[in-house]
Amino acid sequence: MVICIPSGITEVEKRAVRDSAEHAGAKEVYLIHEPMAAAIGIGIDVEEPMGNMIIDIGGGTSEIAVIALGGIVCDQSIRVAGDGFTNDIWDYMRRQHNILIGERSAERIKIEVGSALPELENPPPDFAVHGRDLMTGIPKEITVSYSEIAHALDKSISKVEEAILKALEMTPPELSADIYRTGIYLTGGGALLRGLDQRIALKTKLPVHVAEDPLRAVVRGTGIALKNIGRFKFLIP
Amino acid sequence: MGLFDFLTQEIAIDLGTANTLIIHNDKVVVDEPSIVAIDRMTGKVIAVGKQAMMMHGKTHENIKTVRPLKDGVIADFDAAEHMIRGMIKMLSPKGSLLLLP
Repeated sequence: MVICIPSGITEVEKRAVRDSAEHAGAKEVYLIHEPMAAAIGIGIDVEEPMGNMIIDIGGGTSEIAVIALGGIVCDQSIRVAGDGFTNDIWDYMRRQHNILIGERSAERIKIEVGSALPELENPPPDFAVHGRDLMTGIPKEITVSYSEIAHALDKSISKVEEAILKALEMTPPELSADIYRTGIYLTGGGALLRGLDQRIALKTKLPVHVAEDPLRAVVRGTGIALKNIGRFKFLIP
Repeated sequence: MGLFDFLTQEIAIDLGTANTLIIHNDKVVVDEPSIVAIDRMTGKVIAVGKQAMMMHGKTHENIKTVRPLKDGVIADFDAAEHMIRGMIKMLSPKGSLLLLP
């Protein structure tokens, strides 16, 4: 069984993943770092002497990694990601509109009208959300637009941008040259956030590619790693 | 353990905070939210994945819904184990009856 783990994970956390897999009935457990799996899933040849930058924005962590020669050269892992965005929206609705919504409703808003830029070329239609009015206690409907949500998410996305810049700063110059040519690959559920690729491209002045089917890039890569257990040296037995 | 039949099968898991995906034979066979619903009285698992997600935020005091992963790592060990077990079971709806060709 191959399971992927965030790159910024501690030894104890790694052990927890391994143990729970073994408890669930796995005989042999191999671990793989998520950015590595994502790179393989996108279709990058990770064993080449060529640098590639992967940004994987998942549910709990955002991982930024530079990969070359089958290993992670430098990485940044921050605990700001999809769940954080959902929480921001929840908080914004409570403060701005005095309406308490559920976690699932907040996630729906993120999916329907979530945006990283306050102005988009193809804006999504406004979204009606239902919750409890904090003043009266009565159920209520409110419509939200994407630019409001872009405003609510701004702070968290800035943190992700900061981590990207930090990772770029740490990159050895030869690999920087490679990244300048190939650009940045964006994957994970966060890649589906409208305008995020544009926003990162603006900030870094590098081309940003969104992976095909970004939600499944990591698992695709993990699947490929499973078939190459003997060959891929970066799998952690 | 009935699950032992499975050990001859090789699977790849993306254990994510939001969604858990399992690949088996090059196909994504499980794509479910990472959540379990647990009966507080007996400690048994009521639902895993999408079904448990439907219950999330709508539970009464005998049911609790747990997201075993937080910030990409396991926060609730027991629930995570139940979740992985439940998701592996989804591979073969008839439980351990599945035999490999």
